Amino acid sequence: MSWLRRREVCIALYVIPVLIILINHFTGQLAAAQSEVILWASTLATFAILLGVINLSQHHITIIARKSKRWPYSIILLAAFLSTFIFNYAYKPGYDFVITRLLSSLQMALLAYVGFYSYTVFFRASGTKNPHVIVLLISMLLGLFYNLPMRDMIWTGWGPLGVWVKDVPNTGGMNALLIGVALGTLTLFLRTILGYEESYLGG
Amino acid sequence: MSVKEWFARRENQDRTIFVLYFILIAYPMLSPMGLPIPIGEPTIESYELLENVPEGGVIVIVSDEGFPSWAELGPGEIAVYRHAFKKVREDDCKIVLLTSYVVDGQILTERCLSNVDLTGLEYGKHWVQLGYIPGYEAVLSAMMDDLKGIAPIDQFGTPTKDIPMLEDINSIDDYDYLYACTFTAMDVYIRQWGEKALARGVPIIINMLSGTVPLAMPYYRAGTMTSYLNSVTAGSGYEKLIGRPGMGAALMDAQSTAHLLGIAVILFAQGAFMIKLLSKPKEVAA
Repeated sequence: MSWLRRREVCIALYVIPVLIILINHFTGQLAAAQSEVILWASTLATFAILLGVINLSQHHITIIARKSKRWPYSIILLAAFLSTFIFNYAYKPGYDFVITRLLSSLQMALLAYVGFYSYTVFFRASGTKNPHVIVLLISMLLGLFYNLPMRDMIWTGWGPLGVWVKDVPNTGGMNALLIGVALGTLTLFLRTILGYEESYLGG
Repeated sequence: MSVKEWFARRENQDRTIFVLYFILIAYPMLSPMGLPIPIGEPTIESYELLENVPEGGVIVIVSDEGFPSWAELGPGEIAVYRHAFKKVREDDCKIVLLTSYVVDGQILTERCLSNVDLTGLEYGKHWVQLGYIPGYEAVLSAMMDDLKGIAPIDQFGTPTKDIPMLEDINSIDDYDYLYACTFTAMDVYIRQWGEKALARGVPIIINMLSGTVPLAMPYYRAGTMTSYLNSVTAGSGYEKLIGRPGMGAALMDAQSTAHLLGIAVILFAQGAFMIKLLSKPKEVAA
């Protein structure tokens, strides 16, 4: 069975489904096969979640068994994971409490934290004579004024000015960026189907 | 220690900004000031596109937002749900709800539904919840050709082939309105839906974080993304359009005051530096 571990087999597992999708996109002749391939992707994603759970458990059980650095955190993690899992199947109100009152609130608080730090970044970035940073600060001010709900109370020109910035310099820059990304993706794709790109094989 | 010396310390600068930020966000929420809420062109377009879904039309809602983004995306999401269910009542439209990115979306779908009046409506006849289907882009792609294939059962375990509403709903040929709410990249939806939706004239509307709007502009201008909702700003505008002010309206005052603080912080820091630079040019340069 060692042939299964050959590099060519792994590349074929990538190239064949990709070619099915590609050929169908241009000819429409492999619709059924394409549909099947995409369904497989969703099925594999489900297994990937299962694999993630196994890896996570294995990793933290090892940390606890070896009493490695910060091992009590691993106990908290596994306890939280198991209790949520059990609540979901055995005690629905408990699960709802964990999700809506704990997880949801904690995640929102974590993101809100970024808001606080953004303002100190504004403060630190300002106070410069570097022309590049000054251009960035002017852009930030324009963005803030454009997104300010009460902007029209200050000056009615912020709206049209913001729309112009969004539609002209921003769209132009983003178009260029997207074309660059598309060309890069195409190159990567060609390298991969021709077997030159091996990073996805762990090489 | 003088005020100037105290403020010269970095940790005190941070503390001052944090306290001001907290006060300026908390105060308007506790005591709304009723500052004006602008309604942008894309918000009006999004509203009209849903309003123009024909009688008996199929509205597909993909809720791919996560808990951290709820404050930004939630107001728009709830407003769209309310509007879509109004279409169900008035024009006999059907709604398909699903999540493809993270399981948060499925839970937040329930939260949105708890804000909608479902009296008199029947699950399986007026709307269906397919729940979280892992696979993200693969799911978004597959739902264009074979919805029941990608979702053999609904969120509650009922086989989708046994759900009456889904008898005639399975692919892009059956959809009339595609809506997604995302807290990550929006281009994924355009990549998987754009070509087929554009060919059939089905509008694509995406509710996204303000940070991703610049990325969306090329797609919007090219017409591959029909319209978009720019986070809580659009959410509050949408609430106004459907005549149901809610969370978005309450958050807008806080957004105004928080943005004003951002502007003030930049102007203060840069202004102070420039004054210092002009008064002692050589010293600063050294």
